[in-house]
Amino acid sequence: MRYTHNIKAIRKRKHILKISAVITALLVILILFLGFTTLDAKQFFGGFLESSARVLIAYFVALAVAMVTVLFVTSTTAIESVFVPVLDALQSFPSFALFPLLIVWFGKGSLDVIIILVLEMIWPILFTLITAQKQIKQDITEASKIFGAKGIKYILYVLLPMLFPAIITGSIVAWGEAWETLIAAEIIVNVAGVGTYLTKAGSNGQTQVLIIGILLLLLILFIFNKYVWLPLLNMSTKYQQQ
Amino acid sequence: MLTVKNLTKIFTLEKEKITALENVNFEVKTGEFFTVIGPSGCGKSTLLRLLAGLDTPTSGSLIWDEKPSIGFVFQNFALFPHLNVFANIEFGLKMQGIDKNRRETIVNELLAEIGLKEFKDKHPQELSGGMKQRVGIARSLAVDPNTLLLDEPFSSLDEFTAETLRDLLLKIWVKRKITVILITHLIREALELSDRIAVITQAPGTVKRVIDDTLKRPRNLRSKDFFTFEDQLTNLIKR
Repeated sequence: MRYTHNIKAIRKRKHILKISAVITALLVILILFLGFTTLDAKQFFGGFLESSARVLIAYFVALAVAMVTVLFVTSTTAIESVFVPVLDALQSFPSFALFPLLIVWFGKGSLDVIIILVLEMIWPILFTLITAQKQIKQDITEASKIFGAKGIKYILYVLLPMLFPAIITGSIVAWGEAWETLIAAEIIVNVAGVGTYLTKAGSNGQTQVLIIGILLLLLILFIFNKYVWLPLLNMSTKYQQQ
Repeated sequence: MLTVKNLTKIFTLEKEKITALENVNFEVKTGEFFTVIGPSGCGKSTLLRLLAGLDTPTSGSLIWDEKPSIGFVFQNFALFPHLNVFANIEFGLKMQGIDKNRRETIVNELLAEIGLKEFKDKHPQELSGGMKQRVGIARSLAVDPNTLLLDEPFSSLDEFTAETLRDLLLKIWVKRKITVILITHLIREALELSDRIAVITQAPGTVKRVIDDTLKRPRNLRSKDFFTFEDQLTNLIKR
């Protein structure tokens, strides 16, 4: 028993180390920033927060739309055979082509960025969900029926939990693509955010700001992957069908 | 009692019509252990799916004397992968809206009955095949069915495990006095368990004969009578 306790203690210590490393990195970035740049710190970090908020909002919208679409598309085989090829074609449509239209409609602003992000994030989530839905075995759906899970009960108690692993893997891919799109989209509409600050720093020749910005971006992505997606992914393996 | 009358099921696959079952007739008495036996592809699983209401017959009828409440045990277990053992067994009760305390009592009793109390928090992928099927059986019993349908329940298990589970099934049948309808392709399994055995022939599937398994219980699988029955059934199925 002593032995297992020791292992636990080591694990705990490792965990504390990781967290303190993250905090140190944040502090270093902050100190570097205050010491070396002329940019307003509040504005700069506020921009990062705004960017993260855009990705988050777009993610939840994309997830919701993808889920509803999956429920609709997979409801009957007839609907599936019509709509899946259509979605496949739509998927390859370059979302940036919509930018001019979005700007005409909504002006230059956060909304354009969020819409572009949603259009970018929805596909990986949607297609992993469609694939996962198809992989649910016939006897599972039959068991649901026999034991009284029909309609909304089937969706809540069987379908959604069984799609959970796919939701996570799809989300991870979408999340990765989103940051790439975010930077480009922010530069185009010129709103406060990571993308804009990095471009500004670049054109002003402020290499330090560029480096700090990139470090901060890496850190945000690291924290999200490590403390949100990875635990969710581990959790979802328990849900997997054999 | 269940009366199956002129039951016919035709599937249409890419404009080709396949007759899975044709004019199937038999009766199952209340509380009886009834087995349907036949080679693979003879439509016996289709028959069970029709009895369970998972599919509708093309023609013919199923007449139940009293409204059937059905428990179903699947060949490949069909446990919900996202639920642990406890929640899998509880599933049907939860869907029926039975309150939590009542559900817990029922599930705990069943866990004791199938001998998996210590495994109640495990997920299906952490269990052996035999354990999975125990959970499958418990799940089907939780809803207190008057008819238990089993689709080749022991076919994906090794013989030793299958043997223990056959004993468990017999105990359950005796204790609960429910009607059991078992689908199998194993002659010895049918003879060991059943009161009556319906033999289904292939293409199209139809009931060739229903024989009374008059062997005395508990059954001795090495007795002379057992072998005589085995030969008789084998000949029926082969021809």
